[in-house]
Amino acid sequence: MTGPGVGMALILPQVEELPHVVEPTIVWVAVAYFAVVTLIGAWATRQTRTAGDFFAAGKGIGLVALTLSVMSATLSGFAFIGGPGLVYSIGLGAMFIVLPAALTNAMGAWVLAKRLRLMAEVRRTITLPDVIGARYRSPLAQGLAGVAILVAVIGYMATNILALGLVIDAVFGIGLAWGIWLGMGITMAYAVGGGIVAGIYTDVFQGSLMAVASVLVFLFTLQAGGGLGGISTTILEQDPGFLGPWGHLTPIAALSFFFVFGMGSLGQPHVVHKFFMLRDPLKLRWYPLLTTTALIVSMLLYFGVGVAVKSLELQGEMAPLANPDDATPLFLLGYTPLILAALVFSGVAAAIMSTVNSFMNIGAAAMMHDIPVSLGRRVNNELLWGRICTVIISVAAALLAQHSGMLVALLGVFGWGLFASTLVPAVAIGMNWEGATRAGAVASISTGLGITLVFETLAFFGFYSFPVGVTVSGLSLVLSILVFFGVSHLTRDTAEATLDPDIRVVMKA
Amino acid sequence: MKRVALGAIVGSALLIGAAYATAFLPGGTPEWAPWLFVTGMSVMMVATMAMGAARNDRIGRLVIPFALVLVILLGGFWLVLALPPADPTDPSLWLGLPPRAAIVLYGIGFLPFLLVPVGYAVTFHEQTLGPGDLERIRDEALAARGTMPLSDRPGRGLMDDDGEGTGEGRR
Repeated sequence: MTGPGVGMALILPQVEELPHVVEPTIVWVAVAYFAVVTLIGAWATRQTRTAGDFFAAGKGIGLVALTLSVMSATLSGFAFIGGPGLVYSIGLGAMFIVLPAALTNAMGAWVLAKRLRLMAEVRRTITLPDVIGARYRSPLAQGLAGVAILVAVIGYMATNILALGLVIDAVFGIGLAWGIWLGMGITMAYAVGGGIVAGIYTDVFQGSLMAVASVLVFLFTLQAGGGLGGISTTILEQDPGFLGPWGHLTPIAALSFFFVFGMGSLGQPHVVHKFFMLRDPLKLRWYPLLTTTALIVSMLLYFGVGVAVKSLELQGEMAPLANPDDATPLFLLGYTPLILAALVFSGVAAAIMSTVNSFMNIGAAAMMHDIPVSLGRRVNNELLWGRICTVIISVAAALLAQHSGMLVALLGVFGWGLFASTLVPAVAIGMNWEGATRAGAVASISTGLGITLVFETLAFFGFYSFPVGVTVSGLSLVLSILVFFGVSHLTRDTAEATLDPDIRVVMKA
Repeated sequence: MKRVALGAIVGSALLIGAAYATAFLPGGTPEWAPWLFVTGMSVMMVATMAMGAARNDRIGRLVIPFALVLVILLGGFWLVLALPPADPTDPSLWLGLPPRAAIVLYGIGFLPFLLVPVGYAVTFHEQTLGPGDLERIRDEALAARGTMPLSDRPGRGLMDDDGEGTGEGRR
């Protein structure tokens, strides 16, 4: 697992069939879960009357809602299925994806939260491309960022909807195609009706479910493996590299995960755009502490199941897994009470749906708002067009998930890295550095977009791969940062002209 | 402070870029490349936090948690690179994990949690946003913008719900 293919491809949601777990308890808990989500969606639809409600939760949200929605949007189904499978496959190296979590929320709060919230006050911005357009007085930069977001969103959504279809098929046994359309239909129904309001409040429910399920499953992993010491002793005897600091990855590959998921967190629009919505900005004070706690708690399952299943396999209590993504389902069915397994399967669906919902909203905003604005156009009825664009994006992503075969995996690879390399320099650094220029922003966004699309595609089709340990996402992020600084330096005489006085006040706040 | 932080981000990006570049050399990644990478990455993350936290070009009491986090990240990664692998025949465990794994998970992964979010909360009013700051900053920004309609500016968010666009703040 140390070859050039080790990279973002490993952090896709599962794209292979899961073991079927059709049991009455699991089915009824899942039905109850979907019923609650539907009720929340119906309530949110009644609250959504304007485009401001739809895209920016009009009256704003509270601290708990912000915390749980950020946590839910951050964790896709990967945290419950693909992640434990990755730990099972490559050992501790997989933890470098989640390791920066202790830093990223506070980093995001210092770098972006206050300034984005103030931008919403001063310019009524609702998207990160809005912020880029305002910061650099540049429709071109706003449009490029909108295109990058739309490409990444479609890819992310397609892979997540495929994963949702697999989970629903595993629980209800209705087949993948029905699973995809049922899952997408429910998510789309509340996303179209209630917009981000529905997303936020279903996230609150879904995030709570994920956190509780994660803690309970972690306790069962310790019990099954004989405590953490017992798990470690078993693994060290037969596969010491598994618990080496990088697992079965090279150091550079593991460190790339830390870099991309650490610094890259500043460019994830489905997470940071929630900063626009906080009702009382003074409540930001507790946001990093609460969100980090929630994330760490929710990650216990990720680590616990991965190492416990490896230990059980080495003890001969479990057969080697044909598909690493089976780690969580098989552990749940074999070592936890059925009701807990049922909760986790609903939790997986919850995690995927909350992420998909966030993507639907920002994708619709890019399509309806950012790209037209960059072309000098603006739609008249933003609420109606927001809903129409949500449907278009959702159906396109579901069709891709169902019919595109391996293309869906390629699209999924783009996600996180594309967001990171196109948005971190222009937004995160640009909102904190008055010397940044429009040319620097356009060049860095273009660099991130170009490198990610070209080299991920070449690697996917086997034409060219970077050397062992070098990930496209890591390299494109560091190069886009350097290009941003380099071009801004070369064009520094224009910095003053690309910064409006009110934006300067926000940046200095 | 901000100039120092920005300089550190550029320098650390160059270190990370150099570490990646070594992988393209004949013979593959040299053993010292991860040292470059961890140094650059640790400095970049702390410098980015300092850049965002700087207010009136100062980070005040935050210098303490930032310095400690830098020590934890650099010290942790350097230790992990320097220590020998665990001996499978005589495994000593730290809180249930082999030493290098424990440094990664408990040190690099968990210890910053005790410093950074707490540091953010403790210094919030002086370093981020105090009571009344929001209204003051919003008023200053609106005054700075002058009389040009918001709808004439790139990056202007939603039209107002009546479609006219007054541009007088979010609510």
